[in-house]
Amino acid sequence: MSHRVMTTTVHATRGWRAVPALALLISLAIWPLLMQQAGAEAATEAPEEVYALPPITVIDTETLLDRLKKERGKVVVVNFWATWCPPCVTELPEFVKLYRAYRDKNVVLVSASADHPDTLESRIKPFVAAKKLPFPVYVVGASSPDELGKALKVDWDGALPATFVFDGEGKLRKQWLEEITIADMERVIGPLMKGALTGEGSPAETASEPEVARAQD
Amino acid sequence: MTRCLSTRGILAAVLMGLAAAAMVGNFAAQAALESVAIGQTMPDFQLKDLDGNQHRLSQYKGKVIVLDFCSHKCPWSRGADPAIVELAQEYTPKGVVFLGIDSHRSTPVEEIKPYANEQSIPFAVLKDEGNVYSDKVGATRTPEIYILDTEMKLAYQGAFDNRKEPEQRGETNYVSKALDNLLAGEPVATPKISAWGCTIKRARAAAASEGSAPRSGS
Repeated sequence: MSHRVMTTTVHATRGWRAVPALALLISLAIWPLLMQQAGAEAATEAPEEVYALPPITVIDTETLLDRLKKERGKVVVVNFWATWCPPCVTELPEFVKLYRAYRDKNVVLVSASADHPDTLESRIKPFVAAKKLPFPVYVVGASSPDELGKALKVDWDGALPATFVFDGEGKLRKQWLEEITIADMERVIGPLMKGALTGEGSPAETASEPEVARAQD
Repeated sequence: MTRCLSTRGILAAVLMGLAAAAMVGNFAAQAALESVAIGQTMPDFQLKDLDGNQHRLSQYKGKVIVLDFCSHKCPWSRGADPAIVELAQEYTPKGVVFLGIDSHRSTPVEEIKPYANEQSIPFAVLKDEGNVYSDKVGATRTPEIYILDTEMKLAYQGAFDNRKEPEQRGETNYVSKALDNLLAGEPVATPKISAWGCTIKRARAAAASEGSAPRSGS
């Protein structure tokens, strides 16, 4: 009898000991879910105030090209900038505006930093955080501008800032090798959005040559 | 399967067509600036240096010439200047002529002069008013180096070195390599190398899009 009681006690003790471990396991399992939900709530409640560092990814030319190909059917704006380029830094808020206003409207912003990947932790991340950039940043500084230009089929030699607009079919429609504003971009994007969404308007008919704007200040 | 293949075939054809269209667009875009191909003779110029002295490119014919499209407002160009100064000190005694060319719209001579003095730039810096010369030779970036052989033919165009950051010297100096080739009577191994840099702010485009949007000066 006493033997049986002992056993039960031991079992019970083991059982109780297992509780904290089990609780820990459960909480570990649902922790990401809880966090995700908290994040989602925060985002819906105060979208402008909560800032989280966006993904900042070091990529090569090929990966950038694949990334762009995935956006076919959408208007794609590619902006090349660098932390060391003063006019690029000046115009970044214009791209923040563009991103916020058009991200749900089939316009994709691809923000490409020409800073060297070696400076990811020391310079790029602190810079993105300080400027509170909300969009993902691709670090392409290890690729040669020549290679990037060829891949994108654009006439460009690495002078910054540089911004290119591609239509839904991936065709270059506008390039700026200068500092621009959201108004400059909207004039180009507006007509393209209709085409990108409805599939109307042959690119060859509507605008055969991309316009090139050279630098000014 | 057959259907799948043919769809792929059509897709490939469409993609090739798009690529071709993009190429056409590309050539159209290039027409905005003239350019000089490697091996072609560079057009002559007559430009004033910071002290008002006239320089013609053709007056240096017979020597290897380094043209450095520069801007003291560009961190990348400024960062390269100390190394360019050293290079000029090393190669001028070997008979190489160095000339700086500032085509930047927003940098008047009065602004360049104190900078050039402070950096002890040992060669003439010429002001290309209205970016006329950089338009003729297709220079779009600072720093952008053009090296001319003794017959004023373009032998190298592109980056100064392979630096990763404005202030950090590159391990490979493309200009000294090209100069060594030329001085040894050999062709330049890699005559065109692109690089990151700043856009030359041009006067010409400004009129075309005047009033389009407020811009902050730089």
